[in-house]
Amino acid sequence: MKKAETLQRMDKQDPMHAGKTARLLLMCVLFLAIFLFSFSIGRYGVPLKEVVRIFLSKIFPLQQTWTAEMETVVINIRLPRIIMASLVGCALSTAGASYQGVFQNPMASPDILGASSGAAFGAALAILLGGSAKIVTTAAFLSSIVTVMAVYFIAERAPGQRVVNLILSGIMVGSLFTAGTSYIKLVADPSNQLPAITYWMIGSLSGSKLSQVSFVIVPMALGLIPLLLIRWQINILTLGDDEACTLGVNTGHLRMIVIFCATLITAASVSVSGMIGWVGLVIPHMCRKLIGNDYRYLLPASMMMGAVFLLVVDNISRNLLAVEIPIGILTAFVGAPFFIYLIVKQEKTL
Amino acid sequence: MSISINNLSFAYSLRTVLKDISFSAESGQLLAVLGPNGVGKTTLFRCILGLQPHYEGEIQIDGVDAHTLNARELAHKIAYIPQTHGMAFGYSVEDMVLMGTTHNVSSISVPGKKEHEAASAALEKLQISHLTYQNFAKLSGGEQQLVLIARALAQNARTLLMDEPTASLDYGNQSLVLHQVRALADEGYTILLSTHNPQHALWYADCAVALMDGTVAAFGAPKEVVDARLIERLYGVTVRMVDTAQGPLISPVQTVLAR
Repeated sequence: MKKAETLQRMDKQDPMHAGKTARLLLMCVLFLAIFLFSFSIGRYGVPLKEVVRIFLSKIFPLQQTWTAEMETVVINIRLPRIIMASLVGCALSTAGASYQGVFQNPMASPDILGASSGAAFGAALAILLGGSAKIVTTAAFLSSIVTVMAVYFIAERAPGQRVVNLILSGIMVGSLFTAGTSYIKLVADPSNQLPAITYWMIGSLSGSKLSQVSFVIVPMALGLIPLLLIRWQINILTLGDDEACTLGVNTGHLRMIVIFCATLITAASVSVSGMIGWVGLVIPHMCRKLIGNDYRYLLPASMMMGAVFLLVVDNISRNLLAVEIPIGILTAFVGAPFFIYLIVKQEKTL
Repeated sequence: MSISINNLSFAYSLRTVLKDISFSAESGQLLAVLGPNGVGKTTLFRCILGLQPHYEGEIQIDGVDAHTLNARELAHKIAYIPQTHGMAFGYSVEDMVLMGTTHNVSSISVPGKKEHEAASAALEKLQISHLTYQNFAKLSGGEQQLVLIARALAQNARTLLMDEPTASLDYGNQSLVLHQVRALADEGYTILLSTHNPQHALWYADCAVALMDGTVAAFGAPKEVVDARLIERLYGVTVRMVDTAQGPLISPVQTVLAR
């Protein structure tokens, strides 16, 4: 009797979790479809069938039905860029969702602790000093991490509410670095350095190389995997420090880990793609509406939908006009109206 | 399954909040903590919960010094039931209750079958299984309080701390929640409950501790210590006690009344 009741309860329980798992799978399929589709569109069109055959030919011996140009376009030009768009979208969206948990605030985005302004300063400084593209990327990455570390340690030293301190010191340190960037722009050579800085700050995925992919893949994995593992604990963090502590969570450590991982992936993204806004705010918000606030589902959903979003926007960026529109501008054009739609739309119960 | 506070003192930098507090509660006892606003009831609870570790004196839980326990170990022994509150994100009732099991789940894992069973057993015990899939944020105050109690049960700690659980509840929900709390005490839980209503101490508690100016003004069985003199001393209100079949009833002696 008792067992039957329990079974019945488990049956009742299944629909919600099954529904959410199904939605996650759907997102996964959507991602794979758009990932593949992205290879076929562009100024030089490649039929989807040939895209699949080109990839399969790397594993199985296939008769060549495609031209050499097709293979060059797919493997050398589009592959790095499409992987990069997926990684950056995934990372920014995951970082946004994680910061939102730490700050118990759905309006938090990846640059809340100054990661973007720090990266911009590092990149601008490297461009000013005449560094190569590789040095600019490295400088942006390191400067981003150092900025957030400074913010974190200032907040730790200040008395009172930790979360409020973090936000305040993030605003302060961020504006300090923005001022520094403005000064660099002022003294930069207006014929070549200034446009390079401005273009970097707009955010773009054009010119993504496999070497860049291999540069960001390690920090991204180091950030994304731990976040995915501790996703249940992020739920507890959103209850506030006191309650989380009485539930047995070491809030200080947990917050530090989440901030560290989220910063790592943000810094890696910003360092290769510049400042691509809106992804980290809009996508987690959309996923909250699609799958609920439980981070067990929200985090993987944000990962996949972030990648989907940036792939779609990058496809538009590549194909809409004869001259490519930098993706940083497009994410704002697409993201802002979409966000307005999301907040105006009637909220569903879960 | 007992808690004992021995000579506890606590100060926020220069301002002393608690001075030499001592009292204890056994398994199966519901202990009401009384006292005016700002007397330090919340601070006392924060000390017990390990949120305010820099106190003097000793807090013993099941005979173990609370100072020697980390957050996870403490969560095994004590569950905290906060007042109902707004939340940044709406979770389902099931998720809320499941959060109580966190101390049993490894940091890099998610709650499994055992934890889900503990959660639904807790909901069933409080007869709120029908709320399982609802949005916690959209429930009434009384239902939210019951869910938070269910979370404490899922936590499987035998000592429960409740900070003014009835503060924002209507008359019906107050008695609903307090009945459940009383039933849990009868089952063997040790419950510390702070309340603004001394009548609740008389009706539901096995013992009461009254705080005044940071010290213990009275400690003992409610019927013996909660009297007109104590209430006047704590709250500055003149009352008389009316004997009823359900025990003494506090009746204010008021000079201004509705006509």
